[in-house]
Formats: sequence, C-alpha cells, structure tokens
Amino acid sequence: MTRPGNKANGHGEEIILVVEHVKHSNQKGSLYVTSENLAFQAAGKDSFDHRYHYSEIKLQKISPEGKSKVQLQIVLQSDDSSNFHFLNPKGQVDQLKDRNSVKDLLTTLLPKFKKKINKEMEVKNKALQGNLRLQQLYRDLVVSELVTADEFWAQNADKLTSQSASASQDTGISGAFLADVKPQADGCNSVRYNLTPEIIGSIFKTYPAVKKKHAETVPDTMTEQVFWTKFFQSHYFHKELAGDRNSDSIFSDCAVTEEKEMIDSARKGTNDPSANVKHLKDMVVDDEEGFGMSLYNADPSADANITKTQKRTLNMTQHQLIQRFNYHSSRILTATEGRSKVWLPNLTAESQPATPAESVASDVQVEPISQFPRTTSMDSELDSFQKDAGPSRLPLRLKKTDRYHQAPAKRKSTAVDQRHAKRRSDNLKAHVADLTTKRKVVISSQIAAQALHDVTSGKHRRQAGTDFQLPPPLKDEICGIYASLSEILRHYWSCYPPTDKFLQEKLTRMKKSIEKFEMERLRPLAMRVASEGQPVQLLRHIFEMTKAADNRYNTYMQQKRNG
Amino acid sequence: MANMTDEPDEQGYRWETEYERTWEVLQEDATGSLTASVQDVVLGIKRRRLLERKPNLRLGMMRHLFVILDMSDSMRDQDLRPNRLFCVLRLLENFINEFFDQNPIGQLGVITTRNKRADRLTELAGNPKKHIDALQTLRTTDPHGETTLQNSLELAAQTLRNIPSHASREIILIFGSLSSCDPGNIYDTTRMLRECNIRCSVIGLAAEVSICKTLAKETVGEYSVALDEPHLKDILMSHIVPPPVSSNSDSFLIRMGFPQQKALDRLDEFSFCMCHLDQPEPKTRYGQPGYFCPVCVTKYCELPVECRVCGLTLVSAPHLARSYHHLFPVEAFEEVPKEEIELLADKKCFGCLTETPHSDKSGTTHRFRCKVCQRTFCIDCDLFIHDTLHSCPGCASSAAKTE
Repeated sequence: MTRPGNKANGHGEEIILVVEHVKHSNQKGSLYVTSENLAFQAAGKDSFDHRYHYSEIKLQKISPEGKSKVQLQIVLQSDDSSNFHFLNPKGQVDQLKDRNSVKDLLTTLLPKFKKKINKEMEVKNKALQGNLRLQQLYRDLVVSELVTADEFWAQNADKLTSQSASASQDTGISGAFLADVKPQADGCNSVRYNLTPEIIGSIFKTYPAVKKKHAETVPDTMTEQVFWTKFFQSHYFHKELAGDRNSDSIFSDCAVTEEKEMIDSARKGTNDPSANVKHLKDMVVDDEEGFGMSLYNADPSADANITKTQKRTLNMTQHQLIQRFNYHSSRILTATEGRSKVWLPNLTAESQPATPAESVASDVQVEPISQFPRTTSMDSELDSFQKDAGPSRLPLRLKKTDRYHQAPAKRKSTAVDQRHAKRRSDNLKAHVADLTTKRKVVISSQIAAQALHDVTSGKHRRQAGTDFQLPPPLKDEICGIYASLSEILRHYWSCYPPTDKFLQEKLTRMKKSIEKFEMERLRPLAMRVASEGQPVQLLRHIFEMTKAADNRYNTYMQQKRNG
Repeated sequence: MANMTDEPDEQGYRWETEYERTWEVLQEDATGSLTASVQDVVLGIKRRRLLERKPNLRLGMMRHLFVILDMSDSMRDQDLRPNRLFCVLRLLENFINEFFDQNPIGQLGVITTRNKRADRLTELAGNPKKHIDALQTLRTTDPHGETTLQNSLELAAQTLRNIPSHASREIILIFGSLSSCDPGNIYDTTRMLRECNIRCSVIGLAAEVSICKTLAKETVGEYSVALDEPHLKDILMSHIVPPPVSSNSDSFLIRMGFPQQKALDRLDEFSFCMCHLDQPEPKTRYGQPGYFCPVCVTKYCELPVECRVCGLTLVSAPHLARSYHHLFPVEAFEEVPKEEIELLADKKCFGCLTETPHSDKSGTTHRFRCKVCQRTFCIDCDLFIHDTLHSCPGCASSAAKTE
C-alpha cells in the first residue's frame, strides 16, 4: 500500500511517498521517499535503519519485467548497492505499481541533487584552467595546506562568477520574433523558412501547446521537418484557416482551445470599474443605409428573416484578427494588474536654508498607490505638470567648517614675544637685502659630475628610463611569490579585528601559515638570489610585508596579555 | 513650409527640423558678431541649473556609478551626428574625465546591452584610462539587437549590492530605444533596486518611455530626454555633481590610508606593485617609485585605490580636498541690474578683463557679482568658477578676513 504524505519531518524535508511491505536486507518494513533521502524503516521500529541521501545514490536499477521477484536496486557513489524487494500481499501487479512509483520519483529527484554538486566542481575546474595565476595560487596555498580550500574559494569567488555571468542570462522574447523568420523564395513555388534554435525556443515559450505537441509527435510520429512544415501551414501563420474545423492538422485542436480561451477571457472582463468592457458591442458600418453604425452579428447562418442591417459585413478573418488583438490586450492588462503596487516616496516640502536647525524629512514616508480604483482627481491632474517639490534632502550639520579649509592648528605654538618678533623681522630684512652669491669655485661642475658618476657603482646607478633587468625566470618566480604571499596576507589581514573565536583561531592559523611560507619559500629564495649574484635588496620589500604582519600580531598579543 | 520660416527660433526635436537651417537661429548684433545670441540661449540654461544647487546638504561623495550603455539597433539612428552611438561615446569620454576630476574618490563601471543580453565592459574602478580605452573599442562594434532593461539593471545591481552602505550606489542608463525585451517582470527589478537603495537615472535619446519614468521615480533618480547634442552634454554633465543623500543613515567613520610616496633613496630597491603583477613584460614595473600601504606595505602605482591585501582605501590628501568643493560650493553670483552697470568702478570682468558689452538685446547685463568680495565677472568666468574652479578669485585675492 502506498500513501503519499506531506508531513514535514522537522528537518525541513518532506515525505513524498511511503511504501509498505518492502523487504530490505532481510528485514520487513516500509520505504520512505522524502525530498532529500531514501529511507527504510524496519517493521516495529521507530527510527530509520538505512538512510540514503540522493547525492550518494549514483544509479537505480529495476529487475526485469518477467521475473517473479519485483526489486529495485540503488547503487551508491561508493559502488555499494542495496536491494529493495517489494512484497505487496495483493499480488504482483500491485508490487509492480509500488516499484514503478518509487522508480519514477527517484528519476525526478536524483538528477536534482547530482547536478548541483557537479556544477560547482565544474565551475571551479573551469576557473582554474582558465587562469594560470589562479592555478598557481591554488597549488601554492591549498595543496601545501597554508589556506583551506573553502577560504580560498571564498576569497576568489568573483573569479567563479565572472565565467558564468554572461553565459547564463535569460533573455526575453522580442515582440517580432515570428516576423523575423523571413521566408526565402527557394526556386519556384516553394518557400524556405530558416529556423534557429533561438527562434524555436521563443516559439515554445510563447505557445506552450506547440511545445507539448512537439514533445508528443517528434521523433515518434513525424520528423522535425514535417512538424515545422505543418506548423507554418497551420493557423499560426494563416489566419483564414482558424475557422476551418475540417482540417486534420495537429494544430487544429490547438486552435480550438485558443479560441475557447479567448471567448472566456472576453466574457470575464476586467476588474476596473471605469473600463466598462462588457457593455461594448461590435459595430459595423451599416450596409443598408450606407452611413452610421449598427450591431455586428457574428452568426454566419444565412437566415432570410434577419434584416439586412444585421448582415455580416465584416468577413471572418477580420473578426478573428480583432478577437486576437483583444485577447492580447486583455493578457497585458491581467499582467499589469497582477504586479505589485508602485511605492513612491512622499514628496515633502523643501527645507528653508535659513532654519537649518529643523530636522527635515527625517522619515521618508512611503505610500502605496493602488492601480484601481482611481479617483477622478488622478485622472484630471497629470503629475508631470505639478510643481516638483524635489526629494527630501538632508542638511549637513558641520560644527567647524574651517577645519575643512585649513589644516588643524598646532597646539604648541612657539609663542613669540612681540618685541622679539620686531627684532627678528628687522634682522631678516637686513639679511635678505644683503644677499649675494658668495661662491668659491673649488672644481668645475663638469669634473664634479664626472667624479660622482664614477663613484656610484653600476648596480645602484639609476638612469632615467632603464630599469634594472631581472632575468625572466627569476622575475616570474618572484611574481609568483608576491601573488601567493598577498593571498595569504589577505586572509591574514581580514581577521583583524578578531572579535569572535572563529576569527581568533583563523588569525593564529594564518600567522603560522605566514611563518611556514617564510621558512619554506622565502629563505631558500633569498639564499638562491644571493648565490646567483643578484642584490639581496630584491626581496627586501617582501620581507617588509611579512615584518609588518608580524609586528601587528605582536601588538595584538600584547594587548591580549594586558587587557 | 511657411510655418517654419515664421518661427526660426523654434528648436524642437532634432528630427523635426527637416533639414538644418542653422543660419536662421543665429542673429547678428550691431557689430556683426554672432556670439551673443548663441550664448544667451545656452548659458541661460546652465545658470538656471546653478541656481538650483543648494548649499549645506548631505551629499553622497564616495560614489559607485555604473553607466549602462544601450547598443541596440536604435543607436544606429542618425539624428545625433554622426550616429547616436558615436555621439554618446564621445560625450561619455568627456564625462568620465570630468567625473574623476570632480569625484576623485568615486568609482565607475560600464555595462552595455545588445542582442537582449547585458555585458560588463569594465569593472568598478577608479582609473579613468581603463574606461576610456574600453569605450574606444566600442567604436568598432556594431550596435545590434534589442535592449534589455532587466538584465542590465540586474547585472549592475549584482555588484552594487555588495558595496557598503555609506557609499552611494548609482546607475546612469543611456537609453536610445523605445522598448525593452525582458525575461521577467521588470517591476520586480525596480522594487529590488529601490530596496537596495540604488539610484537610477535615465537619459533618453528618443522619447519619453513610461517604464523609464517609473524606474527613475521609484529610485529617486532623474529622467531627462535629450533634444540634441548640446542638451545631451548638459544632461550628462549634470550628473557629475554628487547627489544629495536621501535616506537618513547614521554617519560612518570611514578608515582611509594616506600613503606617502617614498623618497628617492629607496629607488634602489626592487618592489613589485600589485596593479601590474600579472602583466607580462615589459609592463611589470619594479623599482619605480610607488605608494606603500601604511598597514601592509603593499605597493601601488596610483592613487586612489583600494588595497587588495588589507582592504584599506588609500587616497591622497588632495583627492579628499577636491571632494570638499561640493560640500562648500561657491554661492551663486547675483546679476548686476542694468541701472548699476554704469556705476561700476571698473568695467572689466575681474576674471578675464573683457569689456562689458554695451548694447544688449536680451536684457541681461552679462555681469555677475560675488556677494562676498563684490567683484564682477562675465558669464564665462561665472560658469568656470562654479563648475571647475570652485573658489572665487575675488575672495581668494582679497585680504583674509578675521574669523
């Protein structure tokens, strides 16, 4: 016996199906299919003996049709398998039904869980492959256990998303997509339509009935080409055929359902009391009189008793067309009716600059403006003509504005006495008036420059424009070290200030990683650099960075000890 | 035809004037010069905008702005010369330069939409050169397809959502088409933008579109439709001024670092900068002077920048000082009425020493006076002082007042 259940299990998972009379590893009991697990409960017990999460299940297998034993087997990721034997006392047919219901549910549920995990790994792999630098970082940091994989991906999450952003965008359907399928005259008498997958997607989205038909008929009954030829010959493209009930095209019943829908929605009308749709009637130019309007009667039955004024003067296609237009408009109306109300900020009056003490527009009041019903005032006044008070503006409350214009004055001003000031200024004036260039030429400037040039060694001589050339392999390695070190330091500095236990623990861990990195990578590199004859100052900056981190850690430890 | 000759001054939309009769708009004055009448029309609009700016408002100065550029079929239209796309690209380059000039601690990013998709052209960054280079590449791409409002707004919101709340989040949408092709409900997107406090302004190139109007209204942005190229330029430039803050968030203390450029004695060291680390030779610069972050000693070539290692915003003091100009704008000058023109001590503009024009048709005297130092300026100097200089030369050159 099977009973579908909707009980929430307390963990948020829902029981979808319960199958009783199931035997599993020689125990009789019931099988529970929930939204996250497949669980087996032995008879008489309360808890679940075996629970298999869908992500663990790799495949499911069923026993062949002819066999007497009706079984379902699940294969786990670890290649273990478990068998469920369906023993419905009512007979084999019921057993088969039980098993098939479980199988169907599993086929829908398993892919959901499988895809989630694989997708993440796929994205990560793609990101790693695309970016060499990222790969190197990953190898340096995660493989050598300096940073955990989770932290690594947390920091570099932006590289992950950038791959998928542009690819997986949902696109809307342009209004003219069917018109863009331009037929090309191919030879004589035949017309070619070019269908791209995008157009096919749009057609399926707009006409779900066509999608259903496609799923049903292709590839069983007819090929793609035949299907699409029929589509183009159908009423979607030729409005005259809509009324033709006799055609046995596969789309004729689509046409019937659509017409029924249109008539239904026309009958329903709209909620807007000001739009009096139901009382509208079709009018046509009065045929008999030659002027004026009269009611249109769609009934094509040529009844001789009907007066001429009611004779059909609109032909069928126009009527159909107008009906479609109205249906389209009613669909638009229902869509806009359904949208949430528009919230507009309340436009408060602007504050007077003369009274800055008043707190202005402290709370932005939001009013819902409902679509229906509309009062007459809203109809007669257009808000774009009204004086716009402008959005609420907050005043700036600055106490000492001259602080912004000048640097803060020094507290300790060298207090200069007035008479000293006079004497000093007089001295200065005299000195300035007296200034002449008193130079004694020792050596000519040219010789001095030459001597300076000779004395500075080649390595330290800095000429404008030429950089000291590092050999490329060394440079690459140093760049790699910089990148890895920056990553570790990024994790490290993100721990400050260490407010909770997790951050503190991370901080100590990162500090250890930095020390480890220094030991393993930097010191050997420094020795190698020295042995190759390059100046050791190459790595001074790197050591400064580690030193800064170290100092901060020491201050932190000291604070902890004191406080 | 007769109607058009009767009203030569009527400048409607660009496409309304069948062909250009630019000679009709301008009129010569007595001396035969054309400048006066053109200026009247154009500069009058600018002055009006200046007068609207109120001092003493809270402004959102750390601006994170996304410019969404429409690259749909409608941008091929030639009502703006040579076609809409080129005109907009040209003006955008000016806009970007001005933006970083006036908002040195702001950041900008560019997104384009074409073919019902949105693409991120440049990320949010503080370096104008990167954006301008990216815009140059757009000159060769063909506009095609349809605009999508929803995809582009959501793409921008993805990044803007993660910005701390003390910075202002803005989007400027340059919209040339009359429709939008969206995969879902656009009103959900507008609601999301409003909840995230993202201010969207729209600049239309074709006509007023209702959804843009709702979008701008709901997110407290501005919606303007450009009449022609100078008007478009004005609208773009009006977005350079930081917008006033509308939500009453508490004041934040923002941590900033002020790195010093190291003295020359450190030139012999080789330190790699973070900005060029991944570039192949010869762009990697080592040994060049740079700025070292005060916290983690990482080197950067240019400021302002956000340190990638410790997350500190690094700026230099002149950058901040330039932002202060918006907090203390120069007060609008008052116009000198006609009667007082003769009484002026010196008839020359204090800024550029041009003579006061004597006979004037339009009724303005073209002389504006600073209320504080009482010096008079011509209209060009007035605009220059208010837009670019941000300090009155008269006040600066007069003796300091004791406070």
